Amino acid sequence: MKVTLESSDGQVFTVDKEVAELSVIIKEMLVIEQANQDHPIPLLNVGAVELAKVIEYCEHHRNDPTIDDDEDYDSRKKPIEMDDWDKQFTIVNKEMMFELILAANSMQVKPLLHLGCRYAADIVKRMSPTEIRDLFQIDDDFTPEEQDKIEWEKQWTKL
Amino acid sequence: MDLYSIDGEATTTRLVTDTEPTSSSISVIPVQQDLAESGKARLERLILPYDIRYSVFSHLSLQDIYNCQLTCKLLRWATSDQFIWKRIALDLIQGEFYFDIPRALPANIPNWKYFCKRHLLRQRNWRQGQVQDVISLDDNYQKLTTLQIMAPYVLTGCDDGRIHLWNIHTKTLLNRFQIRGEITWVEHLQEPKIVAGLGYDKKKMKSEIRLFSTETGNEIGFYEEKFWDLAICAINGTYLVASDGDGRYTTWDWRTETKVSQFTVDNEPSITEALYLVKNTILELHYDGMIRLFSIHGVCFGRFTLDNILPNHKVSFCWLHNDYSMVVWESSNTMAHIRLPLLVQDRSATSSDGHPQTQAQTQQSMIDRPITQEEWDAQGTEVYWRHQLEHTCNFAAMGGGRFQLLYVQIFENLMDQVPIRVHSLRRSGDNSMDVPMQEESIEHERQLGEYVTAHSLKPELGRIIQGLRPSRIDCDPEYIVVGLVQGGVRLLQFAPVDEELLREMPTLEGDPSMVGEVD
Repeated sequence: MKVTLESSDGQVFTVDKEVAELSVIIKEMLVIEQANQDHPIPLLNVGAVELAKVIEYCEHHRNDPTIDDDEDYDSRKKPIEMDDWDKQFTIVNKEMMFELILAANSMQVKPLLHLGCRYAADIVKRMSPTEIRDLFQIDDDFTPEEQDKIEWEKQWTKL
Repeated sequence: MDLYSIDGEATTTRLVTDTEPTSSSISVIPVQQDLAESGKARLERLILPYDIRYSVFSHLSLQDIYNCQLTCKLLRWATSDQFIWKRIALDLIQGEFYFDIPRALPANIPNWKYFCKRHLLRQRNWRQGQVQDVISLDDNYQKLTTLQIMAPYVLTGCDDGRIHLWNIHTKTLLNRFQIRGEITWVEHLQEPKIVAGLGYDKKKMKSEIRLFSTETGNEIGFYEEKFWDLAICAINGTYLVASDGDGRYTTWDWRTETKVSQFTVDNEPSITEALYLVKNTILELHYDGMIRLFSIHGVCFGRFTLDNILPNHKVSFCWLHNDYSMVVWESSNTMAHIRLPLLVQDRSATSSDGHPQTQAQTQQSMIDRPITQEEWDAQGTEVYWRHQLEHTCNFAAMGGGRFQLLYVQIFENLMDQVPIRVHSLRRSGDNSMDVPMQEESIEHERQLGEYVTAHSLKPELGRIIQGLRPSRIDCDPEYIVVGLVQGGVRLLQFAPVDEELLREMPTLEGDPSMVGEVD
């Protein structure tokens, strides 16, 4: 069975139902609108470029077992499996990856969300504050006193 | 007002709305992707959804989190969430405790950030032997002969037959029990709330075991053996086993107060150093490093040497953890942490059917079968680490967990002012399967590298416990417990004193991590 999805900029994609259902949001909408599937499902937060990429991801992972997603302590301990395909998939520029994270979040494609967040975390890891600021093009908006306070507080992490 | 300067309460609310996959969330007005969007606006858009924020920052180490905090107010806010700090806290204590990690914050700890700080300070103090506070538990001033800490309880036995159960949080004496003779063994089962003690009367050369209920304070059992001395015991929720250390055993069902079996094992070359009940299988470790497993009725399940691990045949101390791993200390001062996979395997095999185990099922899931030598050779033991110690001591104790082991010694030759030494050890080796977290982080590398410190307690401590002679010692990650020849207990606290720590916690205006627990 096919499902049609419409991006925020009006582009329509037709995908297999089980592929689209990797998105929790779409899955739930399909349950609600069972009888009414002749018009495309609008994804108002997701642009065509991102949607294409999300669908590419879902196509590849269509047969993955669903993972329980809760915030329980132990569940995160399971290593997030990242195969070669995923590694290839994450070779995009960081702006694209950030948009993908947002798209995955709004469509609730959990594995993609985790993959993207891990990617983002890996970028930030071991960066100095200045490097992080450069990365996101943000300005230091602390007063010198506030800066000192945090620096002082940070000391205990080096124990 | 900036969106991110809201307080912690609002963060909770957002958590609910963000994770709830309602269909309405899809029809939100699209965010304008202005080309001139500022870096800050873009970052804000990215980390505003709670799931993203949590998922990104929970991959970061404590140092990374602080580097983010130092960049700007937006990232400081984003990394100040209680759930993120809880994750960091749980990562930090992973492997330190054998018993359950705290799911909720202890009552005296206002937030998870504070928890992390307290934890790191405590570890540093351990490594440096810097005691922060000394708590005294004073009883009837008789020489302490047994001592056990299992937070929040401290259990002591004296040479006059008294047993004391203390609560260290409230610093109060919960129960006092009396047995005849000198106490040589005590055990406290928090569930089903009993204390068992073994006393030996030197004059009459008689030994006895008594059981008490910590709920009512009443004696609920009395056991003795007419023909030989009970020297070593073990108890679980149903059974009590006692031995003379030399091959004679009696077992009782203490719930029904009936004798289950009595048996003798002849021609054992050495004495029993440690006796445990693993489910309903009796596990014992001999002085010569031999492990013997047998049923409650005396059926032998196997005799195996630990020669490859303990070649010196001089076992002097042994501790069995609740994950069925065992730390053995030899008189020649080798220390080894051994896992006994066979014991664990049988346990998991029965619990894998997906049904929650009832008490009865758990009782049946003991090994309860003979183990062949081949089986033992293949998977009987696994060494976590071995370590050669520098010092000889006359009494030792250990606490801590799989990745970090803490142990303390009392010395025979009191060259130091305070004859106690504090050590910490981290496991070495390349066994990564037990280290599932933070693959690339520094924390991880440190866990695999061997790491040993030894310190005498700082001289200023001498002022506090000067003239007091330790007779027994025990420890957990929070405290060293010292039992004294003069009677009484001193708890040496390594965590910083709470009030001091709180005063040192700087806060920024509207820092949501300073708001209490949110879950």
